[in-house]
Amino acid sequence: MRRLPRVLLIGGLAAVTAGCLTLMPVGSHFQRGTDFTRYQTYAWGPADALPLSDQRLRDNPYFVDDVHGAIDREFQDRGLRRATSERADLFVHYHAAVTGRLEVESRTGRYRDCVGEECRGTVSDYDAGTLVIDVVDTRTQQLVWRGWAEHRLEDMLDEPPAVHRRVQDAVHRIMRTLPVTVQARARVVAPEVTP
Amino acid sequence: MTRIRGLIPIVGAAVVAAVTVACAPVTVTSFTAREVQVSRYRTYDWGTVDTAVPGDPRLDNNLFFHDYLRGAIDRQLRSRGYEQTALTPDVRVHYHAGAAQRIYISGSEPTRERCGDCAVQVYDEGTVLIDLVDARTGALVWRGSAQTDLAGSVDDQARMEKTLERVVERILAKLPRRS
Repeated sequence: MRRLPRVLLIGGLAAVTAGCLTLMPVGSHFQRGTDFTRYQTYAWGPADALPLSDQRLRDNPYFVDDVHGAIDREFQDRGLRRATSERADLFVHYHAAVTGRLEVESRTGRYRDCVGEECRGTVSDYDAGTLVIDVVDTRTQQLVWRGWAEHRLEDMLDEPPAVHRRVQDAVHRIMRTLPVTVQARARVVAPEVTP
Repeated sequence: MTRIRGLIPIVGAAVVAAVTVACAPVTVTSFTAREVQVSRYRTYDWGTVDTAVPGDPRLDNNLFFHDYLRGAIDRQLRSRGYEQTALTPDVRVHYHAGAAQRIYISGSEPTRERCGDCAVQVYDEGTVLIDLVDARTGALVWRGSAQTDLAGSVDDQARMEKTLERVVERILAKLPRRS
């Protein structure tokens, strides 16, 4: 019984590590010194030349709709209101890039020693999709925040309900990394914009 | 007390992992054009820089990455006696950054038929390349480059900045100090 907390702790750490490393790594960068509390409105930025770098994503209307909807919802949950591009404090745009990646299944940990063919790990390739969300200050035209999540592309081309869930999850995880000041303000402002 | 003692290996492993990631080895190379004495150049300015970072969509046109990298290069050039000027610089500085996956085979004898504790790992290798071009002739006079394991350093902004600082310092340590 005394070993249970340690087992749970190690299990928890393993689950978190696996989640970070293999399921959906998320990260963000922001402009230091930016007062995010002064931003109240946003608009979709001018269309990027190639927001979706891969034909499979461009041909998937569910993916585009889901990304737009999820970003709108996350911003509004944080108290930011959508405005016309002339009046918005922030422009938002996103990119979805696809990169070919390798993964290796190594035998280390299971066999301390191996001979010839046994030593070979299994190498396979897959397409990784990276969803990048950029937030630009409309006054200075400077990028103030960029957040991203990575996931296997094949999971983003699945059945519409599965794509919807994964996009919601990815956007939610990305937006959780917004600077704290924005989220803190949202708790005050959010009730005012709720119908 | 028993519980604390039980946590020591876990905390220790976490610290070792953090230190390993923070101090991933950096491989540095540099080239100097024949019959050029780089230390005789005194001033520099920035040339055109391509903000694309092939191989890593997170860094592609990422203002924060490029601003920090540029600042780190400025700091190291200054510390080696070079001065920035917008008028008539002696050299123009360019840089390129990229990322690619690499395969690493570890083990006690990985090149032989038999090996103990062999492991194949895939890692993300980042490359930074700094060029100094003679502003008068347009000829490349010095190139320094470094590769390191990115190992989660892009997702964490502070760690990315530390990595960039260390990489640029290592590259420009190869540049002769101004005479």
